[in-house]
Amino acid sequence: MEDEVETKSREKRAAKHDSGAADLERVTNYAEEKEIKSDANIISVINDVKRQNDANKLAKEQELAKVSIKKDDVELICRELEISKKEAERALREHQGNLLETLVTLTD
Amino acid sequence: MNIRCAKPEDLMHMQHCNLLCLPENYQMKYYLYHGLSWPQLSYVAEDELGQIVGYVLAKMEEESEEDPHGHITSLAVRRSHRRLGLAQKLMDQTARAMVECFNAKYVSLHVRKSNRAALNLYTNTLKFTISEIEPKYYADGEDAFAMKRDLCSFALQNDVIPAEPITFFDNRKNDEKDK
Repeated sequence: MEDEVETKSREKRAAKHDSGAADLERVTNYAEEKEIKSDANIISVINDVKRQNDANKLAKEQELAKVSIKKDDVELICRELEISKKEAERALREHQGNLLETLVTLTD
Repeated sequence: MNIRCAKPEDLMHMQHCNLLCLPENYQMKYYLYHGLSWPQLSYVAEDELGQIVGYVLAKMEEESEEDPHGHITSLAVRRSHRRLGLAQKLMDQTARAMVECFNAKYVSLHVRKSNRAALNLYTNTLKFTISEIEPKYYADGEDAFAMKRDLCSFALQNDVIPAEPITFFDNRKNDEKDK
């Protein structure tokens, strides 16, 4: 019964030129296109996304700054891998101060 | 002049050609949908510089339980290259591909009632027949003729070998189904 209704409505739709809308709706992962109303809106949307990204970045930096690292580790990385102190510190912080993991990532 | 199967990079130029020639236009993704689903069926005509001057955008109607059949979504030739028989060649190429790749028994299309040039091509040259009238099919309220071209006789006349010759030429089975 339900099938019948469906085919009927499809036939009805097929009887009008729809620029392929019906075909595209049947494609997997179909996502309806939303129109953003005006230029002002687009800019505010972009700004929001940008602000969000900036906030995330800042939060991450603060998080990293909190990680305590050993001076010896930093010196070791600088000496052995010949990279700047700044880079060595950052890499170490990203690995929560774990020297072994940092070296593995940096030498990979 | 060259007629060849449409490649993905042609789809943009087909859309451009469509915009120049016809009031029925489609989003780029609809061209991609054709190109991805039935890459064998769409053809382009290019001039000596490699510019697309005509195209046929075609697909298969598959979800129905009837015989597999093709459908012409859009066909156009630039005004500067008309009356050279390009549309006929494009249509014959796509018809051949429909039979060879998908065992299509017939091909269907819609055409504006007022489009006499197209009607002449479909009826007299390509042997389409009117199967139905679709009232107010087009957005501006114009009626459409739904037309069909039998591909069995086309295949026989042009020595086209269908994908599955046994089911393709077995007409008795279809008659039984109709009853």
